[in-house]
Amino acid sequence: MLRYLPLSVFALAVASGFMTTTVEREVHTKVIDSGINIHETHASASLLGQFRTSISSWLWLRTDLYLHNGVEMRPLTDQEVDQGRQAATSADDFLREGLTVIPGAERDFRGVFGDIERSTHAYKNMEGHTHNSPLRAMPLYRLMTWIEPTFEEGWRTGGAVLGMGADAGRADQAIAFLTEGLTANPQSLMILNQLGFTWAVRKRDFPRAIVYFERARSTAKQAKNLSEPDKESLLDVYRWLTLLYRETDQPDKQAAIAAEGLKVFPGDVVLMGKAAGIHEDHGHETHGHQQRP
Amino acid sequence: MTPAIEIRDLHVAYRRKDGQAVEAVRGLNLQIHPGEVVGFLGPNGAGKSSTLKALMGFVQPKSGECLVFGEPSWTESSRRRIGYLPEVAMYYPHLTPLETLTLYGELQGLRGASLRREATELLRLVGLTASLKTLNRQLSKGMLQRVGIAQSLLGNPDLLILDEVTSGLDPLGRQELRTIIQDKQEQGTTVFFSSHELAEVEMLCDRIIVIHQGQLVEERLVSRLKDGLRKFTLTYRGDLIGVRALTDATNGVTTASFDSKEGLVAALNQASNDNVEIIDVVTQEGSLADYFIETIREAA
Amino acid sequence: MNKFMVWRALARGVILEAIRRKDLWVVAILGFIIVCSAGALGFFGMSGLESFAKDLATTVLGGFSTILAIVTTGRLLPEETRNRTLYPLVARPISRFDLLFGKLLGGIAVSWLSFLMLCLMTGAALAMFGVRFELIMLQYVLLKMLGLVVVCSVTLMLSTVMTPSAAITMSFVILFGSAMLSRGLLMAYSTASPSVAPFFQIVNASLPQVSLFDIGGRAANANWGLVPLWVVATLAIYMACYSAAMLAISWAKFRRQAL
Repeated sequence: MLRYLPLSVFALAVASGFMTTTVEREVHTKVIDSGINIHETHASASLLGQFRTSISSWLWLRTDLYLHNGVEMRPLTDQEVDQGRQAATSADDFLREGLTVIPGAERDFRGVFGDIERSTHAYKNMEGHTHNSPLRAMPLYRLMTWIEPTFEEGWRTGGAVLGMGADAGRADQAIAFLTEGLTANPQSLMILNQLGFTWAVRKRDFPRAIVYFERARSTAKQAKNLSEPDKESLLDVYRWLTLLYRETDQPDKQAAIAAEGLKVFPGDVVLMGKAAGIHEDHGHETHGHQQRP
Repeated sequence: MTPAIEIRDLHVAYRRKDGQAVEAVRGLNLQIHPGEVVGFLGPNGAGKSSTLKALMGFVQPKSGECLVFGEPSWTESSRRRIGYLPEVAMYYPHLTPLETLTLYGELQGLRGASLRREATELLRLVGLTASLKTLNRQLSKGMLQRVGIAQSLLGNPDLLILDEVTSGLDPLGRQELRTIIQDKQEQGTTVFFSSHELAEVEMLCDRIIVIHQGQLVEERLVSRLKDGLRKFTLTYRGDLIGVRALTDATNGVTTASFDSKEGLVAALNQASNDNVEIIDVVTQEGSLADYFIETIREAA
Repeated sequence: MNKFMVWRALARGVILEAIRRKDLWVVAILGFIIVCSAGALGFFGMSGLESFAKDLATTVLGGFSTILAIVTTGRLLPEETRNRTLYPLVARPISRFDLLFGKLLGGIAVSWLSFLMLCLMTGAALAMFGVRFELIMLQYVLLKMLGLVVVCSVTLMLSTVMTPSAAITMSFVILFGSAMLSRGLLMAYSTASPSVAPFFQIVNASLPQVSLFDIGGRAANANWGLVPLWVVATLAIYMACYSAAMLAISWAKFRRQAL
């Protein structure tokens, strides 16, 4: 009989372990919807949070590097600005201005060391610059949002990258990805905006798109302070809503939204155009993420 | 004949952590002849280890020179003739005694199977046959000292310099060491060693050198020293006229002490002539420890 | 006496100690971490991520191998002195230069061994995800091994002029910070007057240019091909000269050092 004692004790321990999961719900009421809340409660959690943020920020920067085939750019120095050099805004500018971290031979005091670095780290030189497909970086977006679920930019850009092109299957993947992001960040204007955009442009499902844009609008109304990226998203939300209400033949709503938008963003020419019922397409790529209405 | 070791006007100075210069050896001169076994004595801080370190080239002397078989002691050719046992030596903890000896042997210029054979033989000689492949870190202090002795014998050196050679050895180990040193002496090896174990010194050495505060205070052949330290006592009843000795008479029995054998013999002859009754004759061997203490006191 | 045999004996002692001391276990653990991290990465899909995987692998390899080289070489001499294992060595018919050089060779050998072990594990992890082998990876390994020689010689030099912990810390600062400092000098030079160029050149040339030996980024980012042969040759010459200079400084300090 005694030889079954260890087994019985083990079974008892396991059974009591199962019981704790039932009790735990009562003891620790769920307050954590996303990773961000735990930062405020425990030092260790805060430290972990900082680590996660650092890793995902590093991944974000690396992703940018891969998209540019490893070329590492640098800003203009004060002296260069004084010399009248123009800040680069495109890859061609960077190439022309030689604004990479490794200077050209004519500006390098290091002699042969400089020559060697230009050879061993040739990829950092603008001459080898290409734009890689953002889709190649998709696993990185997934990784960075997995590490830091509150990294809205990661969700937004990842969703945008996935949703690129006319492939309907990819649009579904983008929506699934963004919905996951929204679960972790229910108040995110960025993600709501991107979701609305994907439903509107990639799926052509305007009513569904309106649901997300409206949710973004009401979230913004409740928010006390909006960050600059949130303000940009909100402007897009107003623009898209006016457009979508026009497309779904709801002129009253279109006018009301345009008026409301103009109160928040006075002088916005797109909204003024929409308010006047004039359809203007101001679409241009913003970092390849989303086409503005 | 070229001395095995010649130290001329050696000065060794250190700078202490507080920046003050300390002269550990002050104008030391000594010579050790080939085949001699010489004990190097002195109290703690006398400068023994500093002298040996200078001799081995571990420290740069302030002035003076150290020669081994006529060559500066720090040269590679001199070192090839020296076997050295450091005062406190540790051996690579993650190597075995056999690997340790193989490493040192290779540095000595020995190679291959003959080196392995010699290393194994030396470890057997110091009683480590059972521990050939045990890691050094698993050996006791005494066993490590045996490893040290074995490594100092590698390459059959002409000169053995042993610093605190008996440190950590049990009585059996000391006995084995005595045998090794005696064997080496018979083979003509010069042995220069420091030790605080004066009994060992007395048993092993031909000569002793005593230093104190970095200076030579005594240098004697042990045989002469033993003669000098020996005392004789004669106990007799009656009167011995003309006996030059310390006497102590109680109840007609006199005990006379003699510093030399000659004095005792003279007294015995006198006693025979005078028909004095001899009760006892005792020979007392003197203690090197007492002599050492007295010498240091005098030097101080 | 054959100097080569002396150096070999000393180096073998260092390797044997490192193996028995289980230093290489650290490498195995680090390798395990790399493989696990790669596994985690694979979970998110590797298609299109070859550059990132290779970049991550070379970054991790470069960092870990440099750390191991510094820690291994930095304690070679100080440990000998502290543990008093130095005396029986210097009592042998070898010069102090032989001792330094033999120890340095041992440090380099252990660093190379660790690096190659890490390379094998990382290579296996990359192969699991279908990253195909390219010749530049071999060149990366070769140049990194040359760079590790510089790392070891700098660390050995520092360990002869300062305490072991200070030497290891300084090595980390110098070896990891040299690229950053070099970059800073470039920026500073762009705003400085041309007359101070020699000063910049001297400061830059005195720094160990270990980052030049790291072509991990070039191997990771596609379509760059092999580094020209003249670069490899120049780096090999630089490695030999710089390491010789470090060894000379170490020897100048160590040859008269009281033990």
